[in-house]
Amino acid sequence: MGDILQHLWQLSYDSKTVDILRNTKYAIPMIQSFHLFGITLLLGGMVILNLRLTGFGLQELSMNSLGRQVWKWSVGGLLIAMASGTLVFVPDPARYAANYAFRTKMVLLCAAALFQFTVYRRAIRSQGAGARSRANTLVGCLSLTLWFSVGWAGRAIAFLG
Amino acid sequence: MKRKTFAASVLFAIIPAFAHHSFAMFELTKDVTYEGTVVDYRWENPHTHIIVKVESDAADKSTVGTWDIEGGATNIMGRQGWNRATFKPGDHVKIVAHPMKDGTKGASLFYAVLPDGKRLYHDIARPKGEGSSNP
Amino acid sequence: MYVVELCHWLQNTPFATGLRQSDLLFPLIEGSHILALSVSVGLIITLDLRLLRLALCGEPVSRVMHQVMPWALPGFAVMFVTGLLLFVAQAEKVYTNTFFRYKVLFLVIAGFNALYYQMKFYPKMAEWDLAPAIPAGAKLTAAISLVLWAAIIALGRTMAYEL
Repeated sequence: MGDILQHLWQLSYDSKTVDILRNTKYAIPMIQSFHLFGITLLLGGMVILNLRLTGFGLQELSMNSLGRQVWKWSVGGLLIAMASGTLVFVPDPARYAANYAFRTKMVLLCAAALFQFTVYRRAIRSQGAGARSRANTLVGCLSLTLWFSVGWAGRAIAFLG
Repeated sequence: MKRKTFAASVLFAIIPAFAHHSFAMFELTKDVTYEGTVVDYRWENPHTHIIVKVESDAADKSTVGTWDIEGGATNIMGRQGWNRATFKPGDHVKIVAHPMKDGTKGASLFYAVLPDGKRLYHDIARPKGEGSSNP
Repeated sequence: MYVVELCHWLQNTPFATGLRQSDLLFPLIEGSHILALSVSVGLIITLDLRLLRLALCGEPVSRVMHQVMPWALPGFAVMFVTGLLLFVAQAEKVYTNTFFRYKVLFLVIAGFNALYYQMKFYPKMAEWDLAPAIPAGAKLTAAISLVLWAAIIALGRTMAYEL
């Protein structure tokens, strides 16, 4: 399995399209900037939604509107982050794949996304959403912890390896 | 989504042409050996730097001069066996690195060779084409 | 140039050097700077999108502003403090960086843009709270805000690519 992956990484590293990416002057920092835009939208949206869900803040804004519209931005942000993230990975796959922080980030990303599209989605659309309750607080805290952990793991790639 | 595209195009339009570096700034497929004296050893974040002076009697004439060799963050280098006292000004050093594409005297650290022959790498990954993890 | 010398001195103070050489503190500060984007710019986006009538159109503009700002302001404070610390740690290197200079310029313009909104539109905001049409000037400040913040983020990222 390891050999197959190494071969795959080398194919990606050597590919002509990826070479264009690597050699275009500001391609990589631009892609990384989009990754940051996506993260800002995603995490910002999650902060707003969770403040409202737990009843801890933004109480005068409609849970319904936030639940529908801010949810959309967060998902949009996630998609932008994932698309740009793939473009960051593809020119240097072996280096990222060997990085423990990167692997941790991917695991956390799966966990966060899974939680987001199952339990969380149901929670924000439920009758009790927006009222202070133990359930809402738990869901809100878990959501923020998961997504910000993905963020920190991403930062750890360059600093912890 | 439209706002982001608009923002990005505005950004491209205003970045001044004389800003001259990108991530592709290093020739990653080229391994060049720099052998000389340490002028400065900066153990710091976000990148450690080893400034090396290669004398004019060097075997590889293209390496003559003073080079800024950039390593990784202190944690990452630390994992590979580096520490804040690995080198000091005046030490003799042999470093293999990837030079800047545009000819300026900068390079990205691949590994340093200690007097006993041991290699101190920049990072955990040893991609194929950059040498294997066997010293 | 006096400022460069000042930055050189600042960068070499024990405090700045300690920060730069710290294994965990520097990454923590830099990471906080980036992730706090979510509680600063991420929240301001709500306001900008509302002014452009791209989101939350059912909510009065003044209500969105009064609900969001108390959370965004501390977020910007975190951005400012972490940014300042990051600057001090690498003062000379960063001061001479072209991308950093443009980033600061745009931050100043963004500040003036916000100030302009406060002075010109904030006082009368409640008048067009639920109106189908928002004053063109207010919409312009919102659009400028979005573009500026995107540029500021991109410039911040690109700083690392000038050796």
